[in-house]
Amino acid sequence: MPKLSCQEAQVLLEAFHDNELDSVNSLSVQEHLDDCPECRRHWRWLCEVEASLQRLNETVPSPSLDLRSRLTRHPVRQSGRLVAFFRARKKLTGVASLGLLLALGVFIMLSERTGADVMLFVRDSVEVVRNAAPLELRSSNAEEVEQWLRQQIAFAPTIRNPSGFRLVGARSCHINGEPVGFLLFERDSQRIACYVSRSSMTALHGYDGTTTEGIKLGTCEGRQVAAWDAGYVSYLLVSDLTKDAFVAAASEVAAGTIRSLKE
Amino acid sequence: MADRKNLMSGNANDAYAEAMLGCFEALYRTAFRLIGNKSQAEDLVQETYLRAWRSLTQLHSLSGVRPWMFRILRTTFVDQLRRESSRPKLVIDIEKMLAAVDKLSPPEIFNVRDRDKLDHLDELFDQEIVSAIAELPDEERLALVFQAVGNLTYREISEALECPIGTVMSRLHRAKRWLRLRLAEYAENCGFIRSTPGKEDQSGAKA
Repeated sequence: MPKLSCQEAQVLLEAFHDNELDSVNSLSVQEHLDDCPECRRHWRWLCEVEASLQRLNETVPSPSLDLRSRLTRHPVRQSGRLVAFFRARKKLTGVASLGLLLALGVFIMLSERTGADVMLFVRDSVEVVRNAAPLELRSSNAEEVEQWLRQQIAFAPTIRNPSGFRLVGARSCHINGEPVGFLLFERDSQRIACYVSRSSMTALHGYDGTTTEGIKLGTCEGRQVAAWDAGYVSYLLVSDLTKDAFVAAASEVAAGTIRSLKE
Repeated sequence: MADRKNLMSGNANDAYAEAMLGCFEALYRTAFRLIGNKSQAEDLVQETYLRAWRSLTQLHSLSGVRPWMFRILRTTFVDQLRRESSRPKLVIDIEKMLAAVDKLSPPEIFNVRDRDKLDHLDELFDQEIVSAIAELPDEERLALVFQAVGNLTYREISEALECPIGTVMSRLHRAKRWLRLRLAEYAENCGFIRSTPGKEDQSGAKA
């Protein structure tokens, strides 16, 4: 074990007194003190200082009685009672937050549905006409189209052709998150797009009138729109016909669907 | 040991709050010895806890609560010193004095029998120590008070002062060397010391 010089020993005196030295250094300091009167003088004065510090530690006046309680009140005062309440109930806060998020999600979904516009259907019908959303089934056979629709969207209402129009084909798609069946009728260069859905399309925005039969009417992007509910199916027609011609065609189709319901 | 993950649970939070409040006595004593005034020490402790509650999420383990609280006490204290820096202050070139102290050797201490006759010696020494502590540079003073009054280990002091343990040892050595020289000087000036170099009392050494 190397012997310490006085300078080295004196630097370690405080740590030696505080028991902060490892065993090797501690033994070295002890051996040096045993042999060195000069460093022993330092040691004794250090002990005097330490004794004085100890007394100072013990003679600190007591704090005010309410200090401790003042300190414990701070978290509540600082962050507010409501925050403190939730901090103390982490699980409850978690569940409540999740519930709020779900409620918000449902609200947004509902508001999207009820707040959806007939424009969605109008634009879809334009896409079909432009062949950007082509028909999946081309057929003028009503039974064949009905069967195909049943396979695609699990239901297939019977729709009679509007007078003078012939069935061109069908497709299925999702609009506003709902499965929708689509049938296209054609007469010369005029077309009527017919959407069928289990969700009511009469609740959409964009209607500006109702016929005596209860058919909702509207105009969107230069096209006529009509919608009605019959039984468990909702119908929506879009066409570039004139308004009168369109209302007549829509009334005819609607009457057919209501009649088929009664049959 | 409650870790950071568990800190989010109510029980762990309670454990941290309990550990923080467990430091209250030591923090108050330390604050008092740093400032020397009860009312201001209470304010310092209160401000320390205020900051601690706000930063509770910084805590990583229960064992770290004590040095963490003292670190906040230190920053609060230093901020306070900065705010009061405009006040007139006794300026002592402590660096120069400590350098001179390193070259000095303390006089022989009085013997035990003489000391017993001096009823008020402890009180006088304590007053002198309080004055000597107040003259220390801030970093030495903080290390000394944290160790002697706050009863922190060297490792805890290094965490609280955010410096290596070697620096803590060096600061404590300088601070306590300064105190013992000041005490010896005081004793000599007051005539408490019997100047008998070489005739030391062997029983004074630590066995």
